[in-house]
Amino acid sequence: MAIEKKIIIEDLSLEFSLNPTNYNSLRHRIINLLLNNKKNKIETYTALKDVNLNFETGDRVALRGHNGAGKTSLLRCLANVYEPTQGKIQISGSIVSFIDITMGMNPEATGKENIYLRGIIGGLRISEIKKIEENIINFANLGTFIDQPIKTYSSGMITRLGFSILTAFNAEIILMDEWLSTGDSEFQEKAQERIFEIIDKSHIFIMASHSIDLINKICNKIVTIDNGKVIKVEKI
Amino acid sequence: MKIFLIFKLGINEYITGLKNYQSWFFLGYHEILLKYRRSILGPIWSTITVTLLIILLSFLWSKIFSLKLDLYVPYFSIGYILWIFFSNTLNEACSVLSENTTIIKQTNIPVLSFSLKLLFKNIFLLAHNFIIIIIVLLLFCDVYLIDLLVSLSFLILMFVFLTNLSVFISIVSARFFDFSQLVINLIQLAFFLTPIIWEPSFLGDKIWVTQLNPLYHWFDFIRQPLIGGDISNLSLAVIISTLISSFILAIFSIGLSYKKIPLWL
Repeated sequence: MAIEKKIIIEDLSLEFSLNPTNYNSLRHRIINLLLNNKKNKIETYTALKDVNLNFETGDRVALRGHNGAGKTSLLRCLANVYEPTQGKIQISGSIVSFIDITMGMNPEATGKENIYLRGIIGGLRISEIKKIEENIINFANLGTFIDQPIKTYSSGMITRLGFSILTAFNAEIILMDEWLSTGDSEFQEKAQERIFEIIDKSHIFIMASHSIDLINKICNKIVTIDNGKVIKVEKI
Repeated sequence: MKIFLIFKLGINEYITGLKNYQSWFFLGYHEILLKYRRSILGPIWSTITVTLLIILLSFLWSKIFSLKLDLYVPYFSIGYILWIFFSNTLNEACSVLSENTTIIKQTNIPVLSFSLKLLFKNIFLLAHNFIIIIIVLLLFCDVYLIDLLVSLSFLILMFVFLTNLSVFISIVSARFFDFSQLVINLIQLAFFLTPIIWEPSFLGDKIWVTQLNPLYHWFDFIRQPLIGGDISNLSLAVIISTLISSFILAIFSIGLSYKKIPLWL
């Protein structure tokens, strides 16, 4: 771990507009414009407010808070999906997001092809995927099913494949929304081992979780979020 | 000042999208691969139906318009195959972002990549239908290589034009869900207003009406070199100006909205 990886969040605020149900209607918009109707004032909802956080290599962070407190919004800001309304985020290091492990997979495509689809969407180049393909296939251990369309898989098998793909990425920063549980008990054991391994290898690990046991086991920093504000940062 | 900033953001994001070529190339190619898997014939099946349609309609329309069959077949088939490509790309652009909601909400893939993927897939399909054009040209026309090259180079310009249009359409349809209905209807209307089944000369002294339609110039520029007709300077001017406007439209809409798209979907 030669180079330190860092995440610096400065005065981050994120506002959503609470759109009325007809917000997405062009007809409605035009009629409102024609009638010069300004009644439909858009209300905003503050998902995150003045968040200041610093993470560096070695941090294993747990995000805690009620449902809707802003944990997932914060993760999505870190994954560069949501643009902050105010403030900025500086990130050095490659990010792998475990928010939805089966994202981007195509049910018609075979297991092997999905490795490529998922890899490409994860930002890898084809040559990079070729290198980890073998490792993924071995770990997922789906036998001849790997050459079958994944619509023939059970849901457990699909998450198994997704998990094997994501954990094969070289992740310097890992974002996770709730702990992963995949497959049957045999695979789960193997999977836990592998995930602890990649968390160990990663520079920064950030997880939104409610499970106290898990947080105590893995994390060394707890950030408590309530109503979009960071109310406590504690080290353990 | 703000407009410049939006433009700068748009250009940056546009370039990021282009650089992401591995993703749209692979995703587009893969979609075609899956089409082949579902049936052995894959897209060739649609080529066969298009062939049938062209043969039957060529007979019908050439009789109705009392035109010579050997002049009408190349005119109609080239125009019609181009139209299939053109309209499919734009129609699919309406839904390409909402179909990929889960990906857009979780990664920062540039919005241009989705349009490029779409274009690339449709170029593949066009390549299948191109077989028909080649057969028609061999049967009915004497085409010199230089004509073919002129035509192909304008086809490539059309790819660029279509990418820009479909980025714009995909973004507006992500914001306004009912925009897609409008687009689909307009495209259908454009089919009848653009000289594809009919020739501009049918309008007699009202021929200037077709000159107002930018699509006419685009289609004519690709079609005329192949069937031995002339192309006008006006067409060239229209093509260049609509191409430039499409860039402005695409870059402006990307710059204005690319960070808001995950929130709209």
